[in-house]
Amino acid sequence: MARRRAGISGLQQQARTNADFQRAGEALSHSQLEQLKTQLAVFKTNLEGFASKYRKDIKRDPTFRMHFQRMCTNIGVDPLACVGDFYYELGVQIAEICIATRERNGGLMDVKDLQRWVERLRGGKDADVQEISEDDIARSIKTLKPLGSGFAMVQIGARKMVQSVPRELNADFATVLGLAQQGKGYTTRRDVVALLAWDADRAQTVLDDLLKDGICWMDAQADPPQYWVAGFFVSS
Amino acid sequence: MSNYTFPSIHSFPPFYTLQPTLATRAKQLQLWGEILLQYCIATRTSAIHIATNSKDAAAVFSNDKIRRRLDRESIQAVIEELIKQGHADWDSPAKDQCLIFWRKPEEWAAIIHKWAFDSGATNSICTIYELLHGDDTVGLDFHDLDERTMVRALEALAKSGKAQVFVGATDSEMGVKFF
Repeated sequence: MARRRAGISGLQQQARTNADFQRAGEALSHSQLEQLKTQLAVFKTNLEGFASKYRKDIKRDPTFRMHFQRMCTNIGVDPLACVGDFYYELGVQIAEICIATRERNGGLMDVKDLQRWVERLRGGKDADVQEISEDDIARSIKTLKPLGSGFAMVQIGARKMVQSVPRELNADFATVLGLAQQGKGYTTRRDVVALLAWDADRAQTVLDDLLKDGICWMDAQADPPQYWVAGFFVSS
Repeated sequence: MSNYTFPSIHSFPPFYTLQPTLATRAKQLQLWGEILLQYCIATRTSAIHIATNSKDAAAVFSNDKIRRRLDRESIQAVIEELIKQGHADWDSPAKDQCLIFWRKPEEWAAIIHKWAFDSGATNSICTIYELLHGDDTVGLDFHDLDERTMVRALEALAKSGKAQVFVGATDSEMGVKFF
């Protein structure tokens, strides 16, 4: 059993010991930190090496890419340059497609439809074509955000849509689009009135606005006229 | 009979109603114009008869599966769009028949003139019949081309001073001299 030494010298001794311990501790943690830094640097280098070595796989395989991306985010490593380029390039292609189809869908496009267009744009049915996942599209749209482009993903009912026109989908718009989504991709004034318990004026105003914005197309050969959401009609 | 597949929008019911929103309508007419032109190129159709609802007009402008068809007024709007692009022209004052140009007459003109130049046919006179059906043009793009389209092409050449046209008793007998 240790016996405490009494008196001034004992106290001084204790203080010295504490200071020694502290110094030793500092030295240790400093060297640990250094070690950790070195390890992280090595890891980063390896990760970069990995990224460039498997660059093709990362670009080609959406699942692999997603896992890689998640891992990088988790450990706070910047997604490496080559993958960054990938999303930038994809973002530009998404913007091109959205702008090219804007007049036909009012700037509202089903993400699955967009996916098909992207794959076509990137080389059609070639064996070497890079697969693009919804996750990739969502990430690219995030990279477009700082451009002030107004690109965003919006959920309408069970569908994920990409919106490329900077506009707030107001509550009435969203409700009517949701109704069309539950049906066959269209709705009618009668349905809006009956199912949402709106008065006819309110229903007609929203439907007219959806036409004006190019989001809906009208089928006047149906009775009553049907309002089709162009972005819900997926091109094959 | 054709190897042309209609794009998916051909099955979109509102595609058969002229859209009230101007920007949407412009896009709609452009898409219809493309479909008509591509169909005509694929089936080698040179003229469309709207009035009689000819087989070709029916094939392009209606879709039995969704029971929709474009009305006459809308079809005329589609053709006006192609005319604006230089790919069509009315063939009757009543606007119920039109010619579809797979290539614009000026483009045919350039192709024909190049052939005439390369084959040494310049400065001699040949008939339209020889150009369209003669042995010298077998295998060329304009061999068996629609006669009315050929006349437009040669008129375009004459206008630019690269040919002189001699009127014959019929279009087939029309003569041309290339410079």
